[in-house]
Amino acid sequence: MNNKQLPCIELGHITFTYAEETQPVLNDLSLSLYENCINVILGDSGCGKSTLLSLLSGLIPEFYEGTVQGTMEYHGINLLELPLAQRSRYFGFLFQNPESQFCTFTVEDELAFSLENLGVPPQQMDKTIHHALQLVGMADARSKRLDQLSGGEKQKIALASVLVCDPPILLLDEPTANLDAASRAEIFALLQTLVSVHQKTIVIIEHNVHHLLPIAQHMVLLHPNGTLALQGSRDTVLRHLLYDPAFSHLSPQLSQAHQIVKYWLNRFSTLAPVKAYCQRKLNGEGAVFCAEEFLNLWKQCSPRLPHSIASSSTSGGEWELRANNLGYHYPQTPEHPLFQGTDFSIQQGDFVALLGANGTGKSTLLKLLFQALGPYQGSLCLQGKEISQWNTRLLYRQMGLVFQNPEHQFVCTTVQQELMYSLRNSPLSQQEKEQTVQQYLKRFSLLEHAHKNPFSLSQGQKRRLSVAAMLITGQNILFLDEPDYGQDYTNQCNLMQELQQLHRQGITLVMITHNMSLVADYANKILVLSNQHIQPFSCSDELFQNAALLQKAHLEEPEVYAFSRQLHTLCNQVPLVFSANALKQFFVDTIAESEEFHD
Amino acid sequence: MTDTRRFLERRNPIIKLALILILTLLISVSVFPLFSLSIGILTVLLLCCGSHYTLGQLVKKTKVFLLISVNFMFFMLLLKGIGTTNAPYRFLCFGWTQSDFWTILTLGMRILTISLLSVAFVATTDPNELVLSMILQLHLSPVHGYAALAAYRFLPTLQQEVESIRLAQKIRGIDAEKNLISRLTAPFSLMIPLLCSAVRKGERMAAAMELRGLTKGVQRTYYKPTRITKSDWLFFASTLVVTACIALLLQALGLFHFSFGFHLK
Repeated sequence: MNNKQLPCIELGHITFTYAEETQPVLNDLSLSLYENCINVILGDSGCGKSTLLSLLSGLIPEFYEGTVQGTMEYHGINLLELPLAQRSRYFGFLFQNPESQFCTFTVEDELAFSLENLGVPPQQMDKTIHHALQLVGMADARSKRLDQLSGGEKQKIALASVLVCDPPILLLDEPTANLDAASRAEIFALLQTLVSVHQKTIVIIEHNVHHLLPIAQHMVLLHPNGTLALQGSRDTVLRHLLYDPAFSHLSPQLSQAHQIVKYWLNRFSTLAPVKAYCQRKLNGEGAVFCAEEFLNLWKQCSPRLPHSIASSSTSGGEWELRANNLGYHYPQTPEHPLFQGTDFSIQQGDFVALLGANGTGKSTLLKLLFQALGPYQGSLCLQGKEISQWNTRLLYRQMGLVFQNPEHQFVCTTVQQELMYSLRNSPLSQQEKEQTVQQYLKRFSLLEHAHKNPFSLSQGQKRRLSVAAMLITGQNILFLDEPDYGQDYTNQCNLMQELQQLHRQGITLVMITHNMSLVADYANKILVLSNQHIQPFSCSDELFQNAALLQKAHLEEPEVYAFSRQLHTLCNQVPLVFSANALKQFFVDTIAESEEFHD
Repeated sequence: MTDTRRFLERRNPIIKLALILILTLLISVSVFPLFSLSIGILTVLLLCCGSHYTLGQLVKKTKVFLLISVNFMFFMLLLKGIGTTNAPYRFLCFGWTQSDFWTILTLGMRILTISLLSVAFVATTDPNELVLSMILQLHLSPVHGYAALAAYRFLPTLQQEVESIRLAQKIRGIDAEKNLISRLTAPFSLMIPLLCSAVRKGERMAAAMELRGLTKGVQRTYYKPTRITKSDWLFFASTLVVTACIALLLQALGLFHFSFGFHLK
C-alpha cells in the first residue's frame, strides 16, 4: 500500500446480530478499507466475512434482518442510514456463482438491466454497455445467450453487469471459487487493471489467495468470533501472520509457500535462530518473505539430510474397476461422444484423482459407474462383472458417492438419524447400530451436533456428515466430487487427513478436483479426461512434468512447485517436488532429526 | 445490429397471449372437431412461415401432446362404449353412436390445438420481452415481473438439482425401498433438499436484484421497450377475422356451433 491511499470506508465498533440469534456475528469491529486498492478480507469459515460484505452493500439489515450497532461511513456519508437502493450507486456486488445474479437471458439484456434500474436514459445505454464489455474483454459477446458462455466468461459478464453502473467500490464474494486455473488468472488480472487504470476500490473475500496476494494492498483478518484480529498493509499483516507467535494459532488461507514457512517456524519456534529471525522480520527487516533468507535460517539449524524422500507407491489390491474400449454419448448428441475407445483401471487401495476441464465428462463417468446413465459402449467392470449387470442395491453397497453439494444426500431431521438411516438395512442389532453411530459421530467430530438438523450445519460439518453417512455402510470404494469445494483451509486439511486415514484402512478413494495441490499431496494414481479419452498416470510427478497435456486439459502445476524450484535453485539439497506436504515434511524432518534440535 | 427475427417472433407477446386466450376460449366451447382442426392447421402454417421454427421441431415438441390426445380419445372411446344399448356401431361388448365419435374427436382435437397454440407462443416469444410487455403494457410491477423471469431462468437448474438429489438418495438406498410407507414418503425426502436449495437460490437471486437497484417503487427506464405497433393490431384483427370466417363457413355447412357441455345436441 502506498502513502497516497486513504481510507474511504470506516467501521466503528460495529456489532451485528442476526434476527432470532443471540450471538453476534460481527463483534465490536473497527476497521478501515482503503481507496483505489485491493482490500482482502481473510478468516475462517463462519467468522463473518460474508456478513461484513452484506453489511457494506446494504443487504444487512434491509434484506437480512438483525441488529446493527456502531458506525459505518463512506467519505463521511453514514452508510447505515443510506437505503439499499441508493447504495447500489456506490457499491457493486459480485457473487461467488454468477448464475445467482443473472436476471435475464442474454449478455446485452443483463447489462441493460442494471442501467434500467438506475433510470439511465436508453440512448446512453448502448455506449455504456459497450464500454463495460470492453473493460472485461468481452465486447464480442454482446449478442450471446448467457447459457452459451463458459464459467469464466459468465463471471466476467457478471462483473461487467456490475461495472456498467460505474460504482467506485466493488464487493467480491469469492469470485473465482467456481473457475478453472486459466479463468482465475484472467479475473485477477482484470481486478488489477480495474484498480490501477480505472481507480476502483475492491473489497474481496477469496480462498484462492495465491494469485491475489501479489496484487493485494490492504488486508483485514477476522477472528473466528467475529472480532478484528489484524488489519493493515499486506506486508504488515503477513509479517504478523508468519512471524508473530501471538497469531500462530490462526491459519487463514495463505499461499502454500507461506503455509509451509509458517508451519515450520511454529514447529521450531523454540530454536534460537528461529526466534531471532522472527523478531527481525517483525521489526520490519528485509522483505516479508525471502526464500534465500529462509534457506539460510534452515541451514543455521543444522539440518540432517535424509537419503531420499519416501515416495508413495500404488497398492495393487485384490479387485479392480476396469474400463476397456469405453464409449458414451448422450442420446441427443450422438455426434459429440464424451468417451471413445478409452481404457483405465482403478485397483483396490488406490487414491485416485480424476481431472479434466469443465464439460469433459467427469460427472458423466460417475453417472455411468452408478448406473444413472447408460447404455455405454465397450466394457466397464467392477470386480470382473459389467456395471450394467450389477444389482443396484449390491452395487451401492460396494461404491459410495459424496456429492459436491452434501445437502443432496440428507433425508433425516437430525445428524444422528442421518447416520442411523444408513444402517437401516444392516444386520446389526439396534444396540450395535447405536454404538456404531456414536463411533462415527466421534470420529468425524460431529458428536456435539448429533441432535442438530443436517441442513443447519456449517459447510465443513455437512461435508464430514456426508462422508460419514456413506462410509458407515462399509463401502469399499468412495467417490468424492470436489471434496474441497466451499471449505476453508483448516476444514480442508482436516477432511483430507480423514480421507488419508480411510485410505490407510484400505478404502479406495476417487476424487474429482480442480485443486492440483490436493492431487500432488494425496493421489497415487491420476486419471486425466481430455479429448474423449482418459489418460492414466501412476504418480503426480509424471503428470505435472507433461506441460503439453497440462495446457490441453486446462490444468496447472501445483502452486508449491514454483517455491520448490526456487529453493532447489538456491540449494540443490532441497528436493524439487510438486507436493506441499512433501516439502513441508522435508523441512520438518531434516531439523527434527538433527542433534541440535534434540539438545 | 439487424433484427433477424421473423414476423411472428416480432409480434408483441401480449397481443399473442390475448389471441391465444380468445382462440382457446372459442375452441373450448366449439362443437365438432373441424373448427379446432382448422385453427390447428392455421397455427402450424403461421409458425412454419412466420418464425424460425421448422416442421420437424414442431413435431418433436408436440408429440407428447399428440400422444396425450390420442390416449385421451382412446379411453373416452372405451368409457363411452360401456353400457350403451342399441348403439349402431358395436364392437365386442362396446357400443357407440355417431354423436359419441364426434364428441370424442372434438375433445381430442381441443387438447391438441390448445397445445399447439401454447407451443407456438413459447417458440416465438422471448421470455424477457414477455416480462417487459407485461410491465409496460399490462402495468405489472417490475419487481414481480423480474421475479417471475428469475423463477423461469431457474427451471433447468432445478431440474438438474432434482436429478442430482434423486441419484444421491438412490445411492443411499431410498429408491430401492420395497415397503409401501417408504415408497409413499420417498417424494418428501426429495422435497426437503430441493426446497432448501430452491429457497437459498431464490433468496440469493432476490438479494442480487435488490443490490442491482431493483427495489419497490423504482423509476426504471427501458433499453428496448416493447410497444404494441400497428402491425401487431393488424395481426390481431386479421387473425380474428380469419377465425370468424372459418366459424361462419363451418356453421353454414352445419359443422360448427357453440356448446358449453360435452355432448352434441
